[in-house]
Amino acid sequence: MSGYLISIIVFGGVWAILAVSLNLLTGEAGLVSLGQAAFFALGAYTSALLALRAELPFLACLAISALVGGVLTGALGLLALRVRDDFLVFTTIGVNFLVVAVFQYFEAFGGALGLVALPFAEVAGVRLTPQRYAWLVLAVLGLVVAASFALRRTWLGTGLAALREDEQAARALGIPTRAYKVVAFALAGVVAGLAGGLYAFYLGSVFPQNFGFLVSIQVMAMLVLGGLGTLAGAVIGAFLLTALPEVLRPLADYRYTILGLILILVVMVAPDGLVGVARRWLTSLRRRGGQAETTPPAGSEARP
Amino acid sequence: MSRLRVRDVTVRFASLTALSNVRLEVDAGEVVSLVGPNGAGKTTLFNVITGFVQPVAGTVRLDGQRLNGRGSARISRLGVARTFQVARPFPELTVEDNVIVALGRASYPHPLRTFGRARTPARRERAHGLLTEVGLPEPYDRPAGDLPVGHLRLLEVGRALATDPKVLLLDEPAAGLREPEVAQLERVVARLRERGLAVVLVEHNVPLALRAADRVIVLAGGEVIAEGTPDEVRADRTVIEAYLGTANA
Ligand SMILES: Nc1ncnc2c1ncn2[C@@H]1O[C@H](COP(=O)(O)OP(=O)(O)OP(=O)(O)O)[C@@H](O)[C@H]1O
Ligand SMILES: [Mg+2]
Repeated sequence: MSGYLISIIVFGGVWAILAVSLNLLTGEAGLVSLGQAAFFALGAYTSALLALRAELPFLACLAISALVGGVLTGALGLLALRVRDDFLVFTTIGVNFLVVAVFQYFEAFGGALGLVALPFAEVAGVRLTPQRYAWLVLAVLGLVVAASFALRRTWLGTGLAALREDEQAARALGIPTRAYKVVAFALAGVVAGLAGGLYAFYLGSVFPQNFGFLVSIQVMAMLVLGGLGTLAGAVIGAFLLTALPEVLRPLADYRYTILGLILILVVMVAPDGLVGVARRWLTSLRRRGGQAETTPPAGSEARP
Repeated sequence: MSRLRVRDVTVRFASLTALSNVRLEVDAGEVVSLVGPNGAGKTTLFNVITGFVQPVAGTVRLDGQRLNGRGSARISRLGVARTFQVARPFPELTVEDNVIVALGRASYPHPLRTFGRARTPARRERAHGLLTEVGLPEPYDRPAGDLPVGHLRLLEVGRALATDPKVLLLDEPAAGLREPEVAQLERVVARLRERGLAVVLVEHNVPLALRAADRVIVLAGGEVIAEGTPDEVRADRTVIEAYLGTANA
């Protein structure tokens, strides 16, 4: 693999993991978050601090990042219970700025200079080459996608879907919506924490400005472009928007303008994203195929 | 002891007293119709019983256990189910999933079982049984949002029954139903009564409300103005006046 391809896979994969995390909140549970970069930061800083100050091995850092992300984001979920649903989005934006500010102003977290010179990621004493690292990122992505799919079959997943559709009706059927909201935040935090840890070790450094509000917008854009509520959409959107700026390098200055235009276009033309467009296209193809099936004389087997 | 006992419940919304000193008792195997003009406070009473509205005074008890002060989800799991006046299905979930969602009473709050599988073949079968029982025709695998209004009401009744309730609160379940569906609903209510459920029926269709009930309670302006058997209430002057009053307004 070329270095270019590897970096697309690693960054695309990390953003995809973060988009899956956002999808848990917004797609599955209907909790709109524009503070995903803060949860991402919690994971990245946890890994960076543990690697630099405690010299813990890579995989331990990653695991603790997931744990810390889950606990702290779950705690933020508790806070979210105290605000009305329509204000949740502002609360998460506020949390994003707050978290960045904390990392920026406290010397213990590296301050504005960030945390640099992380050790290389090693597993069982063997240093991960960039290529191996890319495989690892893809494996983690596969894991969180699979876990997200599995979640949908559980009571928790079904209950979150009900909560998304109509919170009062969900409560009237016995679904503990408050507890479930906190759990949704915690799970999203675990996944975002993993993404953060992977990001920190790949870059070898973390800076507060890596986790600003625009990053949260970018993750939302990936999810919306791909198709909110769909896991395929989260992954496709993340890789597309990772690769696109590289392809359009001459337009790098207009990156966020292009992002904004894409978002507006998707929301206006195809609110269910690329996956929705593909689905409708497939359905219409199948319909046309279905009509053809009725045409052959009785007795002929139309199925392939 | 009554299964459901509402005692001296008073509800205020700012300066409006929506309910004042309302009492309601329902036994197991009893159907009580709650009738009254628009704005009488019928839905508000349901909201109090199910924990969506907190009364300023009074208590709600289920088999002697206090319900008010608890959360709506807990109250549901303790055995009180309701439908909403304006049907509130989960539109993007399938008809079947709308019912399966309501079968998780024992699993939702359990830290391990909450990660268990929801759609087992047995539960799908149970959901289909309930949907057939309330008279909702197949298919059950399409999004609930595609159903016509009448069918949404039937779905809500089926969904409420899926919680396996002791008390069922039906808020105008017949509104928007066609004749055969109303008849079907009436049969369902009669069957639930036989099975020992306590049913409270809010209904603007007064003939239906009187036909289906063991007892009738008439609410107007947040107060109980009459109570008795369907025959007693039918003959009651104050009731006729309360209804005529709104009809002429
Ligand atoms: N959440 C609320 N906030 C403020 N006022 C409310 C609220 N809910 C109900 N009310 C008021 O309380 C009164 C009783 O309303 P309620 O919906 O209980 O009446 P109802 O008997 O169900 O009427 P209908 O037959 O029209 O459904 C009405 O005046 C209504 O406007
Ligand atoms: Mg009402």
